[in-house]
Amino acid sequence: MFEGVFYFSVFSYRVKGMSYGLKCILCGAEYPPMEIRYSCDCGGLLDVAHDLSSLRGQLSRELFDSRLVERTPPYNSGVWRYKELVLPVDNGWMVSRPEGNTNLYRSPRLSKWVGVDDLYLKHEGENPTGSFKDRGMTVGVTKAKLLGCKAVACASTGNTSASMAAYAALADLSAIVFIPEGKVASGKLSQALAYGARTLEVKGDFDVVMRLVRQVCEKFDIYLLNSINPFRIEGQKSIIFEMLQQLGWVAPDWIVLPAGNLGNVSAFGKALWELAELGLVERMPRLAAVQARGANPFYRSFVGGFRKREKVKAQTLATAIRIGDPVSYHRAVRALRWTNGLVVEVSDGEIMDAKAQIDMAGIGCEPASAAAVAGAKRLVGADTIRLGETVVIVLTGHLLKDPQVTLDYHLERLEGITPAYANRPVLIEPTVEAVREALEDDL
Amino acid sequence: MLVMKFGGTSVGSAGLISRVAGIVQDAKADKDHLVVVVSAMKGVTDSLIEAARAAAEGNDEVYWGVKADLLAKHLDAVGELVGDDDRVEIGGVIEDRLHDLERLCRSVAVLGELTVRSLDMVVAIGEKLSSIIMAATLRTQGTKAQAIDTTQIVITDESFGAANPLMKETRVKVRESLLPLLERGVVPVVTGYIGATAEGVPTTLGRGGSDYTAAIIGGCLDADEVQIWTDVDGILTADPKIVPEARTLEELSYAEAAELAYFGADVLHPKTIKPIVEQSIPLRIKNTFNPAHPGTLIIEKPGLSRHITPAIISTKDLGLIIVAGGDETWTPEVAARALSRLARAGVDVLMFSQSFSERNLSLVVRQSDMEHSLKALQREFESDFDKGSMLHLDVQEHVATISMVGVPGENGASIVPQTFAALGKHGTKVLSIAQASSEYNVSFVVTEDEVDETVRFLHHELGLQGGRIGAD
Repeated sequence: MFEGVFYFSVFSYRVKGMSYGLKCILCGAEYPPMEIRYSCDCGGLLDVAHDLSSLRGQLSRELFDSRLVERTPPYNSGVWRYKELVLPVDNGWMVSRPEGNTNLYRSPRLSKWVGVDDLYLKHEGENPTGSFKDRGMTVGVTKAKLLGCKAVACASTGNTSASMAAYAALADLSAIVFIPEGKVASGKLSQALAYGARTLEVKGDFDVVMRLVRQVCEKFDIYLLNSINPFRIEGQKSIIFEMLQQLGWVAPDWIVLPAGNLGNVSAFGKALWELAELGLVERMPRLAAVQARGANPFYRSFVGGFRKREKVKAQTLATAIRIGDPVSYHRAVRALRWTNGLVVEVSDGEIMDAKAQIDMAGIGCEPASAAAVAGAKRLVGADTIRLGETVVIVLTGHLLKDPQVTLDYHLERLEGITPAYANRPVLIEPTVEAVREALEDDL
Repeated sequence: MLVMKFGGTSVGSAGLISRVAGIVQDAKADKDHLVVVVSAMKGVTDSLIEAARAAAEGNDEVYWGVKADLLAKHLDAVGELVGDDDRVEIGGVIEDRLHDLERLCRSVAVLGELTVRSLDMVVAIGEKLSSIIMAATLRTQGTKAQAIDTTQIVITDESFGAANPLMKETRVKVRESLLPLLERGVVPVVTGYIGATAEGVPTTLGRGGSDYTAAIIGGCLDADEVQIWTDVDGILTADPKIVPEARTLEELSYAEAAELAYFGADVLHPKTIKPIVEQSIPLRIKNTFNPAHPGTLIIEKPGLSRHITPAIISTKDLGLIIVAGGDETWTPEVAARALSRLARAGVDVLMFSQSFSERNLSLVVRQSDMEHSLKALQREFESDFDKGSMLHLDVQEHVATISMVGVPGENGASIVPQTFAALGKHGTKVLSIAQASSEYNVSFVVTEDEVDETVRFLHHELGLQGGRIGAD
């Protein structure tokens, strides 16, 4: 706020015939919902603003709970179950797998490791294409169809492209994917290629690619589905709605998540704010965003009291959050202010050790997700998170997304990282004696 | 001789009591003479207060409910922690103490009034229960221990609710009861927070008074060290809930610790330092959840090579009142009148300042006291307002204070100029400033919505974070 930046809250909005509209978070300018735009003329990011005052009368915990028994679209989807707060469109337009309905795990092993008894893990890796992106894509691709677009595009470190390609295929739209050269995990690259996206590998890092794709979409009339697109954020909000529903609408003390392009930080903040406005939740949990030390622009801004928007040249093996200039910066700052949130950073070594623990708990995740668990452990060690507090950690992607790094960890091939929990395979002679020797400790 | 005090969070459950017993046993291996001071289990004091207040309003259900809950809670703990030989007896004592609770509440209900004196009798029950369970747990785990009720040995004046110890009499009684036990290798488990008048009427030492008890006992027994065990690593450079990067201060002087305690560092009862200082006893803050960490050591003269490591304390939920006037109307009397009027109205003025040329006085009070304060000041200056003077009251609600507390380093450099340079860089709007000539602390007022970010910025800018967070 010290640059004279003031963020507009998302309050009631009504346009003839539609109960939502687009509103600039910086200057407050409003735009009609059917206009194709990703930012305000002033340069600010846009929010999808719902008509909360009329929704207040319609929406209730009971209504959302009653939809849990539905086995058919739209309420069988963990996104469209909350339709009124996501995108109130006719069911016929929805492009839905369905997605969401992800598990909320408890793990004694991880509770002990992190140091919090009341620990939950929400596994967004259980979405159809293996990451939380599906929640945003179902809404984004639905909107693309609504707008009559024939092609969709995104810049991606992997998960976005995989998800967009799948949903585009479902909606019979062309998908064009822009990825930074050599920096996408194999699982994800294979998905984009498999789902039939036209894949362009760009000579540059993610931030370079992001700038390129924005230019391309303006020029060639292709619908951009990065999280700068406010409809992506709307779908991702459902992670919070579902989480709270699973917790019986009792807010946890903390929600910890990995932070890259800041789409989730933004979405979580907006979702919590809307729930509070609607009286569906009694208090705000605190958001804790975790960044990799080598890709920590948001952390740097945070410790400086958000005086300055920092940028870095990103470097981390958690490629999903390898981002140096996050697009949703302002939305995320607002989210942290609404939730009295924090940002922490963790090293690649801590990320991988945390991942090893999550994997060994039988739950498994991709590296970026593990950053959140490493961050939670840090916060417990710092006495920021205290005994008796409830913590929900959001795991963003499935273990299978990055098989190479998992192997490299256990085979001790990661440069600069000494694995604390390596599980090396052992090569043996085909004899029972050799087996007995190898398994001495276990048997 | 070592005194170890464990707060409510540290003894908040059976599991935790067991953990504390382990810590005590480890300490006993080292230091033969050891006294343990305990607070009530977490939440118990609040429940007791709730019961007493409800009783005064004739609400029987509430205090029956509290009695039932506390009975269950403590008996469960006994079941988990106390061995077969003791269990029945200890269970019986617990029931007796809670029967006392019911009796007291009934009396309060009949009278329809809760005096501070009666409240003290009620809340004293919490510590009695926890000390009995802790002593029994230690015995079950093989260490000789005995619960001691300080209403027998800590003698105080009659300021119910915030009593002051009569040190001469207390010293005699404490040494009389505890030294023989220590000689026999028994660990006395002493109730924190409570005492009694010379006539034996129970009193309490004020909220958070168990720390004070530990200091009093330490002073009476000429302890080598008094340890306050809590749920943070020690006294930190800032509240870790705002700044995860906050670092544990290794050493502090008595003076700094006293300032921090006063400003609400939340770790020490403000009066704790006094008995300690009088005998130069080292005080150490330790973390029950991280016993290996050395904690913060509070001594007379901390290591001279220590750099300035100030701590940042912030307090929210405050309001700012400015008594302002034009040339002719302002006299030093105005400031005196305003302050004494508020004192008479029972308002805690947390901070005030008046600058050299500007004719105004800024006062910081709790947000909850704002209305009351404004009314009092309106009345005080009514005649001045009527006479058409330029005197007026300006108000700013929802402010916060930030205090930088720290002794000047060996090079004499104080934290004050660094703080202001940082504030300037941040561009925070500072509403008021106060610094006593001690240079130990400078406080300033900002709006509540800017406080957390300002604290973080200051912490980072002044380089208080040191090494990596969360690592020891």
